[in-house]
Amino acid sequence: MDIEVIFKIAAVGIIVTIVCQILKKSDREDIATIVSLAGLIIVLAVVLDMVVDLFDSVRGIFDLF
Amino acid sequence: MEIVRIVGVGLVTAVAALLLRGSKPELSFAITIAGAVIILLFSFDLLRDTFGVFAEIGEKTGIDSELIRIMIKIVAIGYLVEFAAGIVEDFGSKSIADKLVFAGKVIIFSVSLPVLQTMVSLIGSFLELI
Repeated sequence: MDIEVIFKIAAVGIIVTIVCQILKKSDREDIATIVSLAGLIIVLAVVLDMVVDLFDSVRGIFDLF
Repeated sequence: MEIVRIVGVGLVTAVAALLLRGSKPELSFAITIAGAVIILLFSFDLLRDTFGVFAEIGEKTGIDSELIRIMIKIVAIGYLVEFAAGIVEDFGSKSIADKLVFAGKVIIFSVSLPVLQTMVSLIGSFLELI
């Protein structure tokens, strides 16, 4: 239920690493950096979404602000 | 029984973070945050009903509900500061983690000022009685 998110992020990480290796080998260094940047942005978007859930539940439970 | 799942999530997160640390350190940073968020979300659910008990105790013993709210707010601040400082420290920037902890303490102190005021006024009223 919630471990899937971690597996998804790990999968994205591994895929990005492989693609970067391939691109590096076929000497397209710039595309490799763009791919790793894209992977990072996707992962950060997912994580940001989870942090927003965390703060919402904190607000709900502690009725802070 | 819940603790088994929390331990499971923690271990999986640690392994995934370690796996990615070699090739993509920033992604392992994201995985650590995700794992920490999952564990915290899970523990919040368990905490939800304990706060109901606090509220009941507050009503029964006639303690001012404002003090209970402040106490709960301090717990929440402690939670979040611990969450953030742990992750930031995990990735090397210990000084930022210390700053976070310091800011947390300052905020907790400023939040708990009303408690001090009520205490002082309470003591003052006692002294006048004597």
